Amino acid sequence: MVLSAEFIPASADSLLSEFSERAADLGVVVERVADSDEAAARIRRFGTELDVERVAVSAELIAAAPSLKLGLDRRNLAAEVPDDAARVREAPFGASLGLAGIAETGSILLAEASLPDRAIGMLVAVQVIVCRTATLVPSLDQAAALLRALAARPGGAYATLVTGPSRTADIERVLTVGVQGPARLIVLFVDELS
Amino acid sequence: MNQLQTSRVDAHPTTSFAERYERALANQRLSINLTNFQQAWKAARAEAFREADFDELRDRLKTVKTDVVTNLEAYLTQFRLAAEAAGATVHFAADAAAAAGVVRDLALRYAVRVVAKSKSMVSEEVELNHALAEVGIDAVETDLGEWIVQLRSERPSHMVMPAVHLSRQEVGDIFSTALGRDISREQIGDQVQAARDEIRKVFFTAGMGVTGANALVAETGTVLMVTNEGNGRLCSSLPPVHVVLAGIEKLIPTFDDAMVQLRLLARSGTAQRLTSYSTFITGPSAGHEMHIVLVDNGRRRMAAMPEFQEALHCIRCAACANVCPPYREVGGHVFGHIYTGAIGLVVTPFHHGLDAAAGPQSLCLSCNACETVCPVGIPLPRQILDVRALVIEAKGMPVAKRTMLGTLARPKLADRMFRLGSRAQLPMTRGRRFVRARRVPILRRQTRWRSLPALVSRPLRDRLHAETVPYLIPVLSSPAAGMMVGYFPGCMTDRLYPEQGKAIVAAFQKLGVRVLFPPGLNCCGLPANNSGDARHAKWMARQTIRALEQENVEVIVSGSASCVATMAQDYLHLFRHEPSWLARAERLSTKVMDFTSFLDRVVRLPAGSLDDGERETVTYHDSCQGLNALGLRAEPRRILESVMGCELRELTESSLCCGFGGSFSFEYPEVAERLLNRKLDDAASTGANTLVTDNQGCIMHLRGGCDAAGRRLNVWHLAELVDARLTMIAAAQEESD
Ligand code: SF4
Ligand code: SF4
Repeated sequence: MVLSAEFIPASADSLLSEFSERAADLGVVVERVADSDEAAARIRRFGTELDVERVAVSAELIAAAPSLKLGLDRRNLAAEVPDDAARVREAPFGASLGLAGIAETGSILLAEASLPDRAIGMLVAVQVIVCRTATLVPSLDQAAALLRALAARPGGAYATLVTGPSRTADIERVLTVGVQGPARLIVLFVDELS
Repeated sequence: MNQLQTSRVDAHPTTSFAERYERALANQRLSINLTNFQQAWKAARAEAFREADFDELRDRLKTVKTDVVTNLEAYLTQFRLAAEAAGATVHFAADAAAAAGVVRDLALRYAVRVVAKSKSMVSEEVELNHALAEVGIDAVETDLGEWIVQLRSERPSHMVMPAVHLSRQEVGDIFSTALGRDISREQIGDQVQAARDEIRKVFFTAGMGVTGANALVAETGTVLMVTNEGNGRLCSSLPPVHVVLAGIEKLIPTFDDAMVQLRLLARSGTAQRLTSYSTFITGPSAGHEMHIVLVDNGRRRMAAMPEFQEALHCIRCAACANVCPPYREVGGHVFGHIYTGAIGLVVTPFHHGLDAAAGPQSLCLSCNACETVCPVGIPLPRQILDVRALVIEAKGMPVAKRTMLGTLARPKLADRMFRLGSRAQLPMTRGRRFVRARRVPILRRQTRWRSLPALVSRPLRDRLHAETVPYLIPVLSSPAAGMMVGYFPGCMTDRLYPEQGKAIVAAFQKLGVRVLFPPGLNCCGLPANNSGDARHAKWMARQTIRALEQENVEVIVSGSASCVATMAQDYLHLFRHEPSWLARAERLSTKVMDFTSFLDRVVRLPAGSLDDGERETVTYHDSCQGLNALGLRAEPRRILESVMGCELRELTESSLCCGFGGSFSFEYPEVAERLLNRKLDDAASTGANTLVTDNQGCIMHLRGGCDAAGRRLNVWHLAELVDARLTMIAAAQEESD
């Protein structure tokens, strides 16, 4: 994914702080870590909090960050790559790869090609999205360029800007999270993803 | 699944409009739920747009959508080719039956038993569930609100919040019945959990997912769909066949344009920065099928009519319902037909026929609030009047109303009738300014809660000279001194409140402004225009233009915000097909000005210049035409607070209509009464004894309500306050001379 460089790159720090502020409004936990191993440690910690032994991990995330899997293995959190959406139907915990962070809205761009990968973010109760810090962009205008590039791929794409957890206010306008998708969203920005 | 087979399979609502209206009024919870909703939404929306420039975004999207509607066929082709290249199949459907037929045939072809549906207004429009049920296919709504109304065999009452009319207790009841076990009637969290568990089963059993589209991105053949719950992603991913139902107007050229739409849609719809999931689907997932059904069903007809074209810009955010006063009182099952809110009144004739639109459109009281929040700037109130004109043309008008408008359009006859009326009413008024409710046996529904004003025996026209000479030395010096203005009173000032007209002229006199009152001024035509009676509206507009053209003045002032909006704005639309009158109307529109604007922009009195040192406590009611049509908000407040030194105590909902709406308050007195009482309660809670406004309709309604209920609130036109202060200053100056 190559960004169109029409904008003046803002520093990662300022983008990250804007992102974090916007995401915090939605109850999203945002953390920045140095590398995949540190990311694995964080995921392990969240797993412990949730009292789970396994995490559903997308094939794309494993491909982009093999050492993340090693880190999880080492910490005794079983990273399972689903081969079918039904496998994650009631999964409590999952991790996916984000393609970009959008500071303006605190959104993450997801675009998994395979259905089981995609199903993680649609079905698990708590989702961790792992994203390279360098993919942070200032606004939806840069997201438009990314989305265009994705859509132009042969065979198209299925892309989503995820902005906070699944929510509804359909009953008496009372905000309730976790209707069809994750009730909790955690974004880990990783400086060196390997 | 069996217990869920409660698909709303009825076609259009079978109950009549009158029955639905009565039922809505009888439902005590309804307006409470909707009031809470509207108030919370308004506050949240204002907050959401604090960091985004609404006007700028709206203008951008409007430009984009105008381009789309102008080049609709070209964009459709571009979209189709790109979507097909990505592997989707594109179908075109000329009408509702064809659209539902395409989906039904696909479902049969793939031997689908259960369809998982994400929210799609087009599927409601074409009655898809009905068509599927006919062939034994169960369509299950997966959006929580849609699912709730489906279980109740209802239609969504709101385009974004389908179950906004219901309370948690009602939801608990229907869930318990549908699921055959006890679901909490109080804990919304429990209710959501129960729905999640049931709906999740559907995703895994459905052979087809049907979704709508928020936009169709032409450059890549991409379908944009937003949901907060995430059900749209599941509908479009898990079942092997994904069908998208979309109106042909949903096109948008590029992703950049889509971002503008997203920013506006999320803030306008649910006051979010961005909806939780904004999904862009280009082509089917591997091993799956994707079909896109593009529906015309009256849209090309709209595109071909200049009056209605802009309604195709709609992004279905429902903001227009969220500010609509009658919607608040009766809900979307009455205020609309499948499509609800202001836009529903406009598009219903095209999708569902004039009969379906006839009742709902008559509930619009032309307050113009909807237009101010529409994120694509659709002139909704004007379009609703154009729908009303079509309805009147096809179905005629009640005799009494037709007679009234016909009389108003004939000045000599009207004058005789008014004078006759002022004598005939004597037994009922006994010289008071009100016709009290209990004395009017025939209009009890309309007047039980509101006294009507008495007609004056000497209208303003008998009390004003053709020219009022100003003070040689103005009481206060201002840039207006030496000016000459024309004065347009309007019929309510003329026949009901001449003292307000006198106050305006007297204030001008003291400010050194020469006032001309041209002969031949009568009604501006507003009542006819708001009734969909363009013929009489034009008669009156021509009379008014002719009369005002007699005077060679730069400015024509009126104390009626409604008349000003009619003359400055509505005339241009009335004469859109008559170039010579249009030119005259345009000239007039540059000259007419309401009293408040004249005071604020032309007279420009310095701060404190009308301050009497008493710090009078007042509250201000924004008349709909003043605020929404003329854009007055800061102006009256500057005059009251800064110039006059009043303590202004704001109403909680100062912009909410008082419920008058002209003939509306006679046709829908129950709604008018509720809105009136809201306003009067709001005023009472400010603790101010004086309410100020700028429109005679509001004054009549509010004073009438106070009189009937024995409330102690003085309702004044701003001009009356201003002239009283000027009179005091003049008296003081005389004394010191
Ligand atoms: S003009 Fe007022 S009453 Fe009519 S639809 Fe718009 S908001 Fe509702
Ligand atoms: S007409 Fe305007 S305000 Fe109403 S739903 Fe459409 S876009 Fe929203």
